[in-house]
Amino acid sequence: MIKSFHHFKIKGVNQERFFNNLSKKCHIYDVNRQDKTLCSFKVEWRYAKFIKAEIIKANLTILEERSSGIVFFLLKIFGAYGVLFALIFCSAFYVFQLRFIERIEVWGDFNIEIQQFLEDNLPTKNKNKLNCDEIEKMINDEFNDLSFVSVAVVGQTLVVNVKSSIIPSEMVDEYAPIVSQYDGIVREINLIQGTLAVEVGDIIQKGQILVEGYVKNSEGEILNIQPKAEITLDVWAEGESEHYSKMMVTSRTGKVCTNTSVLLFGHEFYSNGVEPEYEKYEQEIKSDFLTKNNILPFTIVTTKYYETETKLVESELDMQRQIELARENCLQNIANYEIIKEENYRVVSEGNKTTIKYVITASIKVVNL
Amino acid sequence: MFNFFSELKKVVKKEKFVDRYNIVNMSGKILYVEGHTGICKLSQNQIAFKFKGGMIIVEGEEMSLAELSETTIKIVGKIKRVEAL
Repeated sequence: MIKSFHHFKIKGVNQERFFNNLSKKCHIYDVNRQDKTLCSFKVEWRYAKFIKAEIIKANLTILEERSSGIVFFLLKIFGAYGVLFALIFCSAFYVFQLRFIERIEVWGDFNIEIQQFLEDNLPTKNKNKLNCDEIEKMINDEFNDLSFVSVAVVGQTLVVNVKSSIIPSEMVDEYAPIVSQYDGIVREINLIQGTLAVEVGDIIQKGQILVEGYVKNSEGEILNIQPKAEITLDVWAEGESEHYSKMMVTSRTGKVCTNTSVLLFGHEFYSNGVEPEYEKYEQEIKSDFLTKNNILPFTIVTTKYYETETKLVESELDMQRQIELARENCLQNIANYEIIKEENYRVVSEGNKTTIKYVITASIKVVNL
Repeated sequence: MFNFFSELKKVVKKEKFVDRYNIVNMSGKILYVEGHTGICKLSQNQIAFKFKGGMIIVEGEEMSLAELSETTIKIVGKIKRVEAL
């Protein structure tokens, strides 16, 4: 295998004379005379052309010829211009793309926003022309809440380290007003400091200011102050539950088939050709990159088809259960209630649909001390 | 450099004859020949070749020429008889 030979199988008469002449010019190996007219032999691969000419000159017929050995194998590979071109092209492309930033990694807060900002505003992707100080300044100018920005080029990755500025707790929301989280009526107010924006009996909406974070002194000057108060609200919440006496329910039967396809730049490169034979089905599509480089971004798309069947399901109305369900839904809308003052429900029937509408009026205390 | 055939030639005084050809038979499996002047017959059972002033016939089974050059031959196979004419 290591030494390279060219193997000939010839047919003709007076082969002894031919070999005698040939042996004066080169070494011949493994001469095997199978028949009076048939013979096979090997010569070194570099003499192949010369021997071929000699065989023809001696009026012998070449039945078979082949080359073997590592030198021949290497020559075959490097002689294939397509492979050679592909190797050179890929190597050149690889070396060329090393000069550019391939991806951006942001460590710390606002990573998605900063990554998006850099992808949109990066002046160049050429590593040699990239100025890290300039990028740090750009990020600092764009994002005010950052206390620290560091940009570095590591390999083909632009690594950005950021830290958000830490604001002392006494500066956060210090003078923010007390805002209602519910719709309701103000029943009781115990103001400690700040300026009231509502009165007892007022109907308020969610998001409405209850106490402002300032006071006016006798001279009319506005002084910022942290608002503090205890306010009791009557709020009402709604919840409902629905019941269908007859309902078409679609469920999976358990049969599943998978179609796998490989895409390159959005065009299908390969597919296993599996198509669903089901009358009704649901599909789940999952897409993932097959390779981790950007040279050939192959994408593998797996589509799973689940067979489904639709059945008519009939069920009896359990009124107590539906009421409880509606109440639970209602209570979810008023977490942290203090006292439930009133609760009632309505039953609405339309065809095979029954709706329970539940309303709870509860007392809630808004405390900000 | 030690040469087996040269040493033998020194021992045997008839150097005129020992110069013609040399044959080494290795266990009847390999036959190495120096000093041939051309093949006369080539088959799996019989190989004949000329030397200066005569001919050598090698008989055996499944024989082939493992190597052939202008003056040397290496025969492999089951070598039964070597006869010089």
